[in-house]
Order: sequence, then C-alpha cells, then structure tokens
Amino acid sequence: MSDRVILHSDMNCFYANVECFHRPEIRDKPVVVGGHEESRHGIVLAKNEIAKRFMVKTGEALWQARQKCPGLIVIPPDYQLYMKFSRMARDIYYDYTNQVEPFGPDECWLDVTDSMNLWCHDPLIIAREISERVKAELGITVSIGVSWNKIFAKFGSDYKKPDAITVISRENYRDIVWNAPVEDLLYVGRATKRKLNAAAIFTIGELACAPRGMLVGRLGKMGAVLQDFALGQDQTPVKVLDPQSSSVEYLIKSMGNGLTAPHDIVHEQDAKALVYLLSESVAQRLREHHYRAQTVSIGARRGDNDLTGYMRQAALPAPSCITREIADCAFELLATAQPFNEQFPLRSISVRASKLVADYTPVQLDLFLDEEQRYKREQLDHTIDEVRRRFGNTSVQRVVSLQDESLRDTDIKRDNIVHPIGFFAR
Amino acid sequence: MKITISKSELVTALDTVIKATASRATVPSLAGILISTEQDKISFFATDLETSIKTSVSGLIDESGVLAVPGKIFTNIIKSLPEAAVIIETQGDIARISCNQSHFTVNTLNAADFTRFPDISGIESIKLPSNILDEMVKKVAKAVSNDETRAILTGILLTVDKEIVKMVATDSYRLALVEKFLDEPLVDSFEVLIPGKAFEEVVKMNTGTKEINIVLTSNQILFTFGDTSFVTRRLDGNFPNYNQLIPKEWKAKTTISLSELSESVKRVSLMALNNTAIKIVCSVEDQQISLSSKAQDVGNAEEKVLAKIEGETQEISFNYNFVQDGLSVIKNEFVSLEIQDGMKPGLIRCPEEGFTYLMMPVRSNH
Repeated sequence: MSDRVILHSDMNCFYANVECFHRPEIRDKPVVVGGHEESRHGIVLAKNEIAKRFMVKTGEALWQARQKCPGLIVIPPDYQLYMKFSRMARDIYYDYTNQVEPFGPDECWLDVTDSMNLWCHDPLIIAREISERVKAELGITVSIGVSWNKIFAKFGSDYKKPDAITVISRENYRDIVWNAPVEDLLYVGRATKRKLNAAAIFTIGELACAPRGMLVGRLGKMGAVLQDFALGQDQTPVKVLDPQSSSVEYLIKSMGNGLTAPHDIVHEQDAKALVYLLSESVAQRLREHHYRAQTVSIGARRGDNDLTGYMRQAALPAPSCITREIADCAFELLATAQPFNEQFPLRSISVRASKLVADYTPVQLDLFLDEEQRYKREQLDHTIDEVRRRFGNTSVQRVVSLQDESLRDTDIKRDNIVHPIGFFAR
Repeated sequence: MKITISKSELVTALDTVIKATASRATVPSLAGILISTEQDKISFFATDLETSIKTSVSGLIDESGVLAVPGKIFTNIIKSLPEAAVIIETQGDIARISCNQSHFTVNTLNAADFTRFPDISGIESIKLPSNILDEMVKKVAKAVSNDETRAILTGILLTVDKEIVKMVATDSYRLALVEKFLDEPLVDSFEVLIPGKAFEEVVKMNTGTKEINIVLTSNQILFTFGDTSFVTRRLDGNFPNYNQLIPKEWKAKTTISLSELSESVKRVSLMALNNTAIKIVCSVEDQQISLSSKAQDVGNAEEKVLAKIEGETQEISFNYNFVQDGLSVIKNEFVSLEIQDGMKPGLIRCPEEGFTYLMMPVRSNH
C-alpha cells in the first residue's frame, strides 16, 4: 500500500489575525487578544506577528506584555467570531477532501490521499491552493505541513511559520524531524520532556532510536506510542466528520465548565452562586445533547499565591440532567472539601458531568427519591431551556446567581467553546 | 495436640467456620481456623473481625491442646481425603494430617494471634423456629441491597410483635415484606437490623436444629443453633419507614396464575436486552394482561395472559429482573398484581404466604 498524503493546516495567530482582518485600522500595530482584566482573566490569549516581535508570549499577564511592548492594543475575545472563521476555513478544506479532522478551532488535519487522483499528483499544489484561498478569502495566513502521517504533518505545520508549507517526506524526515528537540513532538509535554531528558533523550531522533523497553519502563504504554510517533509509524486515521455540522461530533464523554471568578471567593453565598452558574450551563448542555450524567466532579483552584488546586467527584443517586441536582451535588462536594473564609480563598471553580447515558434510556425509579418532583423539575428545566433559546441565556436567571453582582449577566453557556479533542479520542 | 475425628463431621465443621475467614487477609490469623479441645469436644473458630463463627463436634482426644491452621488449604486437604477417620497431630509448629494412606503436613499459624470469641452477654434475646426463619429470609433476601455506601439497606429488618414476625428488605428499587404468625405470642416487641448476607448464611448453615436463638448486644448479634455460635455486627441507623412506602390503594388489581405469569415474564425478558424494561398492560375490557418488550435493532416480544382484572386499565414498565425475583420466591398457585399508575410503585401480593413485594417502575421517555 502506498503512503497516505496528510496535510495539517494551522491558521497563524488565529484569534489575533481574525481581529486584525476585522479592524483594518489596527493591522499595522502590535495586537493581542486578552481576557478581561477586571474579571481577572487578564492574560494574552493570542498575539499578532508585530506583537510577537516584542517577545510577547501567549499565556503571560497583560501587564507583562504591556511592559515589553508599549502601545500594545488589547482586544477582548469574541469567540463566536472565531468559531465562524474556523467554520469558514473548514468549508475551504472540504473542497479538497471529505476527511477533515479539526484539532481545536484553528488546526485541521486533511487526508488528501484519494484526492490526488482527482486533482493532480502533487500534494504541494493542493497545499499551495489552500494556503492562497485562506489568505484571499479569510485574510489569514496558514502554515501547512505535508507528510504521510498525522504526527509529522502537524510537526511540519509548526516547523515554519507563518505562511509556509513544509513537506516531511520519507527522504528528509531524518534531517528535519529527528534533529528537532523532543518537546516539538505532539504529546511530549513538560513532564514527558523532563522524563525523556533524564534518560538522555533530547531530540526526536534519539527518541526514535531509544530501546523500546526502557521507554515503556519510564513512560508506560505512552512510551511505545511516542516512539512510534517519532518513527513516523503513526497509523491513526483522519476521522471523517459530518461536514454539515459546525461542531465536532465525537462521542461525548463528559461536559464541564469552569470560571475564574472576578474576585476571590470567601463566602459560601458567592461559591454557591458560581457553582450554580456553572452547573446551569453543564446541565443545559446535557439536556441539549440528550444526555443524563451519573457522576459529578468539581475542580477548584485556591486564590493564594501558589494557586494549588484539587478535584473531587461523587456519584449522583440517579442519572440526572436537572440543574438543581447537579448544582447541589457539586456544591456539596465543594463544601465538604473546604470551608469558605479568608483563609481558603477560591480563585476558580469548575463543574463537570460524566458517565453520560442517553436520555432515552429507560429510568429505573427509586423508592426514596421523589420521582414525581424530579420529573416535574426536568420538565421545568426543559421549558426554561426553550425560553432561553428564544430570548437569550440570561433571560431567566436564578436568584442565587444574581446575588453576586460581579457575576450578573455572565453567560457561561454562550461563551462555552469545545476545545481541542484529544488525539486519542474515539 | 492429637485428635481423631470422622472426615465427614470435620468437613461440616470446617465448612461452617470457613465462612468467617477473610479471603484477602492482611493478618494471617484472619484467614486461619483455630482448633482447640474442650473436655470431650473439639471446637473450631474463625473470625474476620466482622463475623465470628464457632462450632464444635465430638471426637477422640488423645492429647488436648490448641492448633491454628490456614483455613483454605486445610479445608481443601480435608475435603479431598477418603471417608475415614482423620488424625491430626501437632509437632512443634507443624500439623500432621493422616487418613488411611494419605499424609500431609501443614505449617501452623500462631494460635496466640487469634482474637477471642466475642463475649456476648445479651440485653435481649429471642428464640424463633428455624423453618419459619428459613422461609422468611429466602423471601426477602433478593431485595437486600449490595451497595455498601447505603449500609442500612444491606440489612434485613426483623421485628417480632407478640405472635407476629416480620422481615423487610429493600434496595431502594424494590421492597420485600413477609409476615408470619407464631403459634403463641413470644415477646411484646423485638426489633433488629441484621446484615442480609450474614442472616442468609445462618439459615443456610442451620440444617439440624428446630430453633435459632438470637441474642442482641448494643453493637453485635449472636445466633446460636446446635453446637454453632455465629456473631456478626449490628447495623447502625434507622431503617426507612416501610409502612409509609407501601401503597394502600390500587387502580388496577390483577389476580393471575403464578406459573403462567412467571413463564411469560421469562419469555418476554429475552427481548429486554441491556436491562430495558418489560411493559405490562392490564386490560379490564379484555380481562387479560399483555407483557411486551422491545430491543432496538433486534426485535420484539409480546404475550397475553388471561387474568381476573378489577378497576381500570393500567400500563406500567418494570425491570424484568425485579419481577422475576419477586415471583420466584412464591409457591402459591395465584398471585395478585396491584398497580396505581406508571410512575408509582407496583405490588405483587401473595396473602396466603404473607408476602408483599413492591417494585418501582421504569420510566421511559418516548
């Protein structure tokens, strides 16, 4: 069997370039997209090329970025706009193949093996055409990697930025990929890098040639997977998704939302407000996707300097998509894990629902739960969903959420974006 | 120590006490059996700290003493021996087992590591006929919960009120209640929550004696029957008020042949794959009930059974396992099925056997 032809297309500085495209007046200035500072989300989410020249880094605080780059323009994020661009980019990709797998909003894999016969026999021509079209139609530059597997294609798109095309072939991968530091390989993060460096593995080539048993001993089964990646032996297919659907239709395993509160939480009432706000979005999304959850988990991050966090989870007495049940369970988890006072300030909270079952699964009723009331609550939640669908998510709010002024009109669900799906997702 | 004992009696004793050995013990003595001589009896004792069992059999004692052996291997050896006298003899820290031409040695455990059999001086006690207890426990055992997180539901509630004996168990999806009458009133009132598993073991172990004696302390329960004593912990907490859960009214009451109903349930269950429910419709006009199930992408099943139906036509769905469990413990020719509506509990009743079995329905959205 001949090799596959896989492209990985990465839109450069995606959020920042979308903003620049939308506002011509700032195109020649250093621009970053950053969270609201007054709500303490003040970090750099994305920067444009000019800001990059000032050494502005993604993830650093906005005040740090301003120090490096006087005159920096900070724009609040508009996720709906980015999602629109993401979809438009995918529409372009779909002109070349039906096998398009998004990896986050700005990256996609394309399997064009079978398109070779239709188009031409040179993947570079397709890559150039995609690059030209995205630039002309969306005003965004892309970098594209071309290879015979997804991992090297992704490596190629990261190799040269912006507006570049890199071909990783069986002839040149030893020169290009193997000489790169090991952390440039997908799924080698900070912890894995540290472990590999400790074993004197610093480049991807060294990882490829390392004794397999040693890697498995140090990294578990991921050791073998990563070595396959480094050898270019990754076989994972580019998943075919429904082109009509705007979102990614994977098998959903869990749904969660988290928020960094505008101020540290030291009162029970404020914690409850935030938990309810998050649970509301989680439960609403469950209902929208016709799921019920069996497990609720919370994550919390402390507001003191070390920003330590913890997670807790509990089983619900019965599968549920009722906001109140999920929120009560989440709040109980939080309240058992810590007291609410100045000694334990909370910076952020997240709520997650998992072990999902489809809502058409028959429900075994419980003798000790008020099933009639549960049924009514579920119906009520569905009705409120309908009101919110027509009049906006903040049209109906809970009193508990209104008690914290700073959270008023926060719309978790609207701002929710489904972020990169794991590479190993089925 | 040197003792001689018949193989079959030894096996019975070991089978009894091995129930109280821990399978994954952190301390070796918790997986061991302590054998000791008491006058003319040989006593066997095991404990996993939750339950303790002691029993004794008669045998020939040549030399008295105490011996501790690993429970599982020792029992397996004895069971495999031919039907003859077994001689057990200690030599230092090994035990020598001989029977006809077979010889084994087993390294012994330290007898001093064993906790003593709990000293029970009861505050309350009651003697109940074993055949009644046996029947009652079997009737409610299936409704006992396995969920250790709600410990209270892993128990069987036993109450005695003059001549009325009651047992109740529930796992929050169904509830089984059985009531029996004694020939003569016993005590004014007696109530205890007994771990379901232990209670089942007790009635299973007791084959020979007519009565089981139950003694309560503040945190333990002692059962004695024949030469055997069985101690287990009492469950803490309040059992749910079951009287309030059992509906007093019905909208449809079906009286039906037990064998016909259970046969149909069994057949219709074949299509209730992945624990989907079976649907029961009681039709007053047709005087029959229809049972049906549906498995997506596989097929359907439907059966009709003639029955006497009073009230109005009703429809309800149940997990078939719960229905089968309830029917399986009834022996009477007829049972009745009482339904209020599809969201409220349904009842299987057999007044002849004093049996009430309540099941929560399954709600399907579509």
